[in-house]
Amino acid sequence: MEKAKKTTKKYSKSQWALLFMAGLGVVFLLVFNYAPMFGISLAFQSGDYVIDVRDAILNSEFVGFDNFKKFLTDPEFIDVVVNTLGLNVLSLVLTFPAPIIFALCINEVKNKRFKKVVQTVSYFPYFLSWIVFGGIVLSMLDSQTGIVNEIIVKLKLAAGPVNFGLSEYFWGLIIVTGLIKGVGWNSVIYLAAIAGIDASMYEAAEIDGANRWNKMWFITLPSILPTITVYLILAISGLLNSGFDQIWVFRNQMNLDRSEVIDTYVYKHGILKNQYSYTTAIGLLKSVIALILLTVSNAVSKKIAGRGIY
Amino acid sequence: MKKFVIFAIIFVLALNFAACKKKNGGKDDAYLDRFTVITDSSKNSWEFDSEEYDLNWFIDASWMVWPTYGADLVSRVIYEKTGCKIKFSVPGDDSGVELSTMLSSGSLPDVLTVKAASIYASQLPEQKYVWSIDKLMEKFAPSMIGRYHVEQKDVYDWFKQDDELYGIPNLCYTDYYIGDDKLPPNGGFLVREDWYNEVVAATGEDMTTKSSFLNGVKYITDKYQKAIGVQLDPFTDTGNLSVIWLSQYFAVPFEKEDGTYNHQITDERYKEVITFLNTLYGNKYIADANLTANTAAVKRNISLGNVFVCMATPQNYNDAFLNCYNNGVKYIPLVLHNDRGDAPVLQDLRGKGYMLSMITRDCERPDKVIKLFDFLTSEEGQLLINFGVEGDTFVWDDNREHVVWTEKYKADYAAENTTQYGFGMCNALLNQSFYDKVEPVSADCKKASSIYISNLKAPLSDYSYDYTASFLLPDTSRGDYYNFVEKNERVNQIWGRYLPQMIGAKSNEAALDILASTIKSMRDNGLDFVLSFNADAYQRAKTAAGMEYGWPVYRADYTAPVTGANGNFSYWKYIAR
Repeated sequence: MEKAKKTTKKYSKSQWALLFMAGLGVVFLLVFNYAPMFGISLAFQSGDYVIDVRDAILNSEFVGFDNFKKFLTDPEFIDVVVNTLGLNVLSLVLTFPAPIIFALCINEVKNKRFKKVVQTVSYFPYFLSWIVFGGIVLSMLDSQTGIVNEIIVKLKLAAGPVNFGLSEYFWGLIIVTGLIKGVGWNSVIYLAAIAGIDASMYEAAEIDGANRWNKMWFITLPSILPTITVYLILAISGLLNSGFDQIWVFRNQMNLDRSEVIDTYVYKHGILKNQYSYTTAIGLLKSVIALILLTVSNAVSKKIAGRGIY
Repeated sequence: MKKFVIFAIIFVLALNFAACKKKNGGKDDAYLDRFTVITDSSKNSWEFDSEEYDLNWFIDASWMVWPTYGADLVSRVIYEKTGCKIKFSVPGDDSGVELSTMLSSGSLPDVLTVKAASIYASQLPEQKYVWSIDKLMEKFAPSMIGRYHVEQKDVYDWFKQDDELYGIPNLCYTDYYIGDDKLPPNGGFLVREDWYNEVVAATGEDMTTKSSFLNGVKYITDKYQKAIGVQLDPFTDTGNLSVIWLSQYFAVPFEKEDGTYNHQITDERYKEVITFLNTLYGNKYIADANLTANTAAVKRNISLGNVFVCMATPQNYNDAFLNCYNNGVKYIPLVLHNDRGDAPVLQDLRGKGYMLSMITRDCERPDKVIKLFDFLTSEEGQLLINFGVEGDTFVWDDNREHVVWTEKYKADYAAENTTQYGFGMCNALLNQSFYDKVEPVSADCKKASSIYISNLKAPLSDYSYDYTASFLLPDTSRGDYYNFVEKNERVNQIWGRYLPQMIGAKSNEAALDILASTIKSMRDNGLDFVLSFNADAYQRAKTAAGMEYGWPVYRADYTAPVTGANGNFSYWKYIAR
């Protein structure tokens, strides 16, 4: 018995390698996630317009919750929060199921060559940066020279060219372009989950007379539900995180009332205007809300589906 | 295991704290005592020191690249004269992110070139990140003192902080070199020449009044389906340059008759600017797409030659105008008047400086770098970076007023073999007024297209004036300065946000309603405080510029110029038009 205990304590070479690799992950976390937490103190200090962040942390006055109050009373606060939540909730509702449906559909395609072509075509936009992809989209949508407007005008779908840069189109533009760029790539994880389903379950279902729809509904979907749950919880916790690059590419002065979100607001005030304390406070507020969302969604998931991420 | 994790976290945080305590590593004044002081101002400072020194120089302008550095004549001579090897770096774009990140991390290069209008220009000296140029000049480069304390004192007075200069400006127009010369305007409206001639022939109107302008644009947009009646600059967070140029065409003053500051946007006369643009939009002469266009889209429109009247800032679209020129489409200026018939009062190109080059306190050899600055800002240095070496690439004309290219350089120019020289690359310390004063008067070594581009706005020179006072000179030492900065940004953003909505409003009345509500919103967010600060900054600017009146019309010597509809073509340089 004692001998067996000793054996479990000894690590093999490969286990040491794994431990070493895990250790690197821990170091990464410590250096890039824990160490910067030191800067959180800036949220409670008057470090705006101080050039060196370290100087701001060490030498600025303590101002309590002043920076938080400033954000909450900012005339743009309502717009920024409404846009952030509105855009992300809408995005979650419309774009979260899309890769799942896409993965289910791809899984049903029997022609391997066609399947590969569809997958490659759908993955490709993901590998373009938002600057490039957004630039292409903006050129296509240009109301003077864009091909989309030429089609709209020729098919008489509208009275004249449509200016997609206006605020009424902004959320739609973000969701549609997000779908085009991400649906293929985001489906990979679900395809991997589907690939891991035991084939004998499908065989048994076939013997029981199940058709393709039944197999998908009663075997595939329930089997990938844990994966869906994890991603849904993570997506909910990230409700205040907007795709900065994407929004920055499509925003202009005419759609600011729909395009100004927390991330762009922080970038403008923090990076471009040196207001480190103010934007740290906003970042901290955002993180606290994200933590609450994560905790609540995880608890709800555990209660309803019996599983969560921790 | 838990204990280990807690220990690791505490260790990392402690390390972080220790790193913080290091601060920026800037050197204090005593550091200068280790270098040899030079007292002899009769000899050039760089001639006292032939030691080699490698330095890093960050320029916060993506276009100020020097790709041939190290392989061209200019960089070779700089090294021979000063012993300095410079490693230039510029940001990937002009968003300011790289500079901001560099500063916030506290890792500064030897030399930092920042925009003179940016907050860093005052913050860096105030927070002791850069050396006083005055201190360095006195100790190590006395041959440089006369240049800024006497010859270019106007530039010195403009940029001094707490009575000391902290950065050397570039692209500056100092009175020492300009004298009474007329300069082209900063912004200017251009019309497509062939279409304009058609309008004049068909309507008999020259488009210099608002109504004839509208008629002309209507004629062209009706006739050519692809024509874009009027092209504006892109709208930005803080407004639109074209709108500023139009307010100058409509002579909205930035000064009251008693010599005090006047806020143009809240001036009654500004309404004419907004309603005219709104009328252009309402008639579809300004495209809906213009309100949401970015720079690339504006460039594309101009390049295609579809723009009839370009109100966008011409120098920002040189490549696009060049493309038009190469396709046989030419543009000429247009003089447009307000309802009262006032002559336009345009801002000329003059500025005390676009960017400031500062020597940081992280620099190991500030004594060496100030000598480099001395050389580059000297007449010899300025001649070198623009025209090369006397006798080799240029000689002086008989009166020693203008340089003349040598046959050797002309031959290399004809053979397109000029990259070996590296002229026009050292923009960080370029004195534009010196260049303008001495540049060759002939068209030698100039392409017809570049002569055309450089003369685009020249015919409007009669209408352009020194606007220096309007640039404002805020007192950065005031206790409420950062409050001003914050409120100023806020009100500017409100303006930038609602300006396109004013222009795109359904009617003139609706546009004026939006203007009124925008001004109210600006007032709610501190406009009155900003204006009181600006009033003080305006008087400081006038004092620094030595002006009694900032607004040209109020000056005793002002007479309204009279020219043709397209200005005065005698201002064309290099060749007659």
